[in-house]
Amino acid sequence: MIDFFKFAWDVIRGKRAVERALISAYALAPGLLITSSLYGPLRSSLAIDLEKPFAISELKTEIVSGGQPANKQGLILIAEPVSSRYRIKLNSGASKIWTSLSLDEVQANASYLVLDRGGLSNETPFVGVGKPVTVVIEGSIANDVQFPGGTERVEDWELVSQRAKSIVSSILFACVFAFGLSIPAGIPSPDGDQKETGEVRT
Amino acid sequence: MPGLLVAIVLIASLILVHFSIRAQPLPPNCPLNVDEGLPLPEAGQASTVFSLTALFGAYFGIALLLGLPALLGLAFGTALGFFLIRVWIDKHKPERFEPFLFGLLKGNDGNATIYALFICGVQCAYAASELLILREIAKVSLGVRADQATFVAVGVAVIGYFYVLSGGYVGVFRTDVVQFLLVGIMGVVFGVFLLGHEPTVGLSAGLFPRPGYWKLPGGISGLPLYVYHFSLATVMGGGLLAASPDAWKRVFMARKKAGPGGGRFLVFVIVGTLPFLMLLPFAVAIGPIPDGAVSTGQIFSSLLNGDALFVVAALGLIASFLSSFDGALLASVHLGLMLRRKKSEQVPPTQNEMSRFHWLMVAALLTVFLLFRSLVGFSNPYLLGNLLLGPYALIAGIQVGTRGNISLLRENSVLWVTVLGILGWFFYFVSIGIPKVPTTYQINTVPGGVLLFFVVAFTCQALVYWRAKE
Repeated sequence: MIDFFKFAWDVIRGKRAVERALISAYALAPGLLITSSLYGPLRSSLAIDLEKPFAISELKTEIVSGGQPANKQGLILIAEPVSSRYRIKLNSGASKIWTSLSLDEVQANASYLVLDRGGLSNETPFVGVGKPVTVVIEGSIANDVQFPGGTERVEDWELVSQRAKSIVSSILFACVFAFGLSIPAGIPSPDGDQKETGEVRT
Repeated sequence: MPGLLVAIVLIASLILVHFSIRAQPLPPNCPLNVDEGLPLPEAGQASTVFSLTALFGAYFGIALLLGLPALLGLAFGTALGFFLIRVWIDKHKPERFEPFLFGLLKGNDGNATIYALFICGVQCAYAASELLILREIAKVSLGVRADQATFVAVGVAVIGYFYVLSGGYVGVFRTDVVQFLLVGIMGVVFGVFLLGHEPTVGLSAGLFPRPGYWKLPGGISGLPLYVYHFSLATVMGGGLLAASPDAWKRVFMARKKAGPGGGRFLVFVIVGTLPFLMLLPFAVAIGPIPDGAVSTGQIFSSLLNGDALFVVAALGLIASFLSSFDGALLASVHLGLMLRRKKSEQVPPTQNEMSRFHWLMVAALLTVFLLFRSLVGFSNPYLLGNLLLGPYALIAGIQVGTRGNISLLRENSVLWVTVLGILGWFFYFVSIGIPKVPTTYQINTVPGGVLLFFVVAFTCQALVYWRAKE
């Protein structure tokens, strides 16, 4: 965020009052809002969904063929092959997990994917794996996910539907379009400026 | 697919504004002094009502909990508000809207400054509360994760900001037509969908108020209670218009387009009040919601199963948000411009006002954003909207008490009336308990707001009377 303010100061420094107002209104103020919402000071990893290192989905019931559905708590973790370290806290210690990794891959990543009584610690990307990895864990999840230097709420990491994601992407796309359309219309070119004022800068 | 359609509509609206403004650029000397090329003021007004219905849930909550008497009162109050604003405008016979708005600030500097800043602040707070609620709706109804919902709300707000910045009134009025179509489609599609389902409650149960809301002392019920509900809702509907500069502009435009015949104005009134009557079948079809904590997501979750319904809902909610948000942002900036013009004593302005307009847009946007950011962590996103009932009642009271002419008041009277009114409202609000989550009982603050309106209106009337006697 400090970088943004430094950038803003560099942009408007030395400009005329009219130009400062135009640049602030058409670029800096809306830019600040968008930047702050994507990488805001209140959150460290509030990035667009594609960059999220993992997603969680809670499991609540078990259906057995021919039997009655019953409550059974668990969770699915989908870990993306991007650089990240985190620990998912569990309320009750899980004794086993089920992964989409092969036996060789699990052995190669013994220190990257660690299950203990308090939760599941992950360090991604996994060695030798370039695809997302799915992990099924038995047990109920706690409210927090731990990261180096901080903790975040589980609900911020839940899996969302594709259509909900598409709404987010569409808003981002429309915002980019709005900037693209409005900035050239709102901010005069140096040539136009010279024509308007009749002065030529050297 | 849903995202693509949303993107197409938003981008099409941006292109509409872009080409509109190329054909009719903002006048540099007074960028918001535009009364030409503003189509269908009815569309914007109806979209705003939809916003208060679908997004805020205030009017929808009244329909669900209080039934027909209150709903009729809201419709009647809104129609009455339109006519009273028209009478107010007729009294001044302005050729254009801007001098009329400037007239609001005539008289001594202290009163004008406080009044203008107060209305600007309330409009910005209203825009911030719309943002908070849009974020919540995106989260619970559209299924977007909390962090992404924040971006959705801010992103849509930035798009709305560009409509206003690039197009001023032309941008807002023209996109209002598109937004009206979208919210209209949402209303019709959900209406048809709900008609295909068995109502969960009988018609008579949906028509009458539920006990526990807007009670009369002594447990009086029956006709007196219905009349009481009708009266409260009438004041609420009319008061909201009396305190909304964007509604004044729309009434001004409708009056101007109507000419001496007045038929067009009647169309404006009918279109502006029709959304209220459309609420009743919705309320009957959706059925009773439990008293206490309420979740908008739960109410609408069954309606958003199919992709088509999801797209219609997403577009309708975004459209109703944009309509209200842009109206509030523009009203705030326009009043700010008038205040600066009064301070600089340049009427009509002799210098280019574009820079001032741009800085005011920046200030309004950042104010709205900071308010949003500071309240986004609070568990009840409807709280700010609920709190604003008091300031709206205050402004409406001052408007009615002074007949829209604060120059009749003594110097600094507006300051004292505002401070005491806000303090009174704050203590009242705290005394009934600040709701930590959205609850149906928030609707019970309306009688307090109506009481505040009458106290302020009578106080201002008394102050005007005493000053006239001196």
